[in-house]
Amino acid sequence: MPSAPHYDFLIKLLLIGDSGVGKSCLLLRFCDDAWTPSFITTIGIDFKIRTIELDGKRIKLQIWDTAGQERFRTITTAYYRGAMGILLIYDVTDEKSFNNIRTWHANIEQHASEGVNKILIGNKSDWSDKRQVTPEQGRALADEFGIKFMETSAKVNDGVEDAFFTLARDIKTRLIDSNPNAGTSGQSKSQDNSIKVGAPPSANAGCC
Amino acid sequence: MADSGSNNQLNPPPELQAQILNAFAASSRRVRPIGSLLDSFQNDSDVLDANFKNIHDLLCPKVGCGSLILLKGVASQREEATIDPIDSPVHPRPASLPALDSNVPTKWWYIQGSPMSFENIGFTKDVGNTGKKLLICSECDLGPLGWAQGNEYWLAVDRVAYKA
Repeated sequence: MPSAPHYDFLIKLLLIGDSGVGKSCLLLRFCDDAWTPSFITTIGIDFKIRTIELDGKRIKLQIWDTAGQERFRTITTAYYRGAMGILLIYDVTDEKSFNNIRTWHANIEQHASEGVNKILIGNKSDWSDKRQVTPEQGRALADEFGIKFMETSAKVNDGVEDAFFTLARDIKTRLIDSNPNAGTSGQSKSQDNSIKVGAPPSANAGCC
Repeated sequence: MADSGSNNQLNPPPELQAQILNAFAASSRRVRPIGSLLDSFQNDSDVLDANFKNIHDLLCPKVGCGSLILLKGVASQREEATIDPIDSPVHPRPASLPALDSNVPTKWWYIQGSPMSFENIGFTKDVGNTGKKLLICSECDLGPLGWAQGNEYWLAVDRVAYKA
């Protein structure tokens, strides 16, 4: 029997939005249409595993790619199961992808765990000459949903880190600052598959 | 698939979660490890130990990427016929990856168990209705580097780099 892989935590993230908005690019070291192997477009990516190390802990991130289901603008419930954060992405040069965000958001509201952290992202912000959606429009929609908003350019790697960081900060706010009891019975309360908090909040939980 | 590894799912303490995604983003900016391709070794056997385990970390072979795919000692080498070619008109091989000779058995790094055995990897959706997925680099999408079926994984020995 193979030995079980060693890691401390497993975190699940989802990237959601229309086809072509550059979801996958947010995860890539290179993001160049000319580079992407054609078979990936044909077959589609199911999920990726990334391992990071933080304070001596090994953390596995399982990142689900929703490509291939976008044309129905619906994603099966299985994809949402256990998701900790959702990045809701449109393309600032494609107004349709922006308009479709409402449908995506409704889909999330219907299927994802209550309280899962979301962020709205307008990608390809470097394409100024082709822009169809203003930052103000994006912000207004995010305000309507009550979620954060930012623009990114995966191509020039601008704002990508901020997007992840903002989502992380929101998760922290939800799990620590606004929900002090989250950890005390986290696992038993998680019948809705929301992010489970394994450790009770300690005295220093709100330190930052 | 959807439940892969879920038996092992643990729950991070909240104070850790705040930093996770940031560390994730930072991980892409790290210094890239340098790998050597198999043909730079004198003998193919230089990359394995007496138990046929890989003695080097396995990396993405793309120059400038070098994503850490698998830690040393996790895979064991097997020689098998290319049961189902991982290259086909549907999923052609990028020019930067060597062709697999279908006339001779192919050497693979074989891994069994959870997909979490990998450090960084990407899985495609099923190819047709074969129940097989292709393995790609999770940081640059280079592939196919190998394939997967159920809880078994095969990486072509000359489609990965070996950490110096």
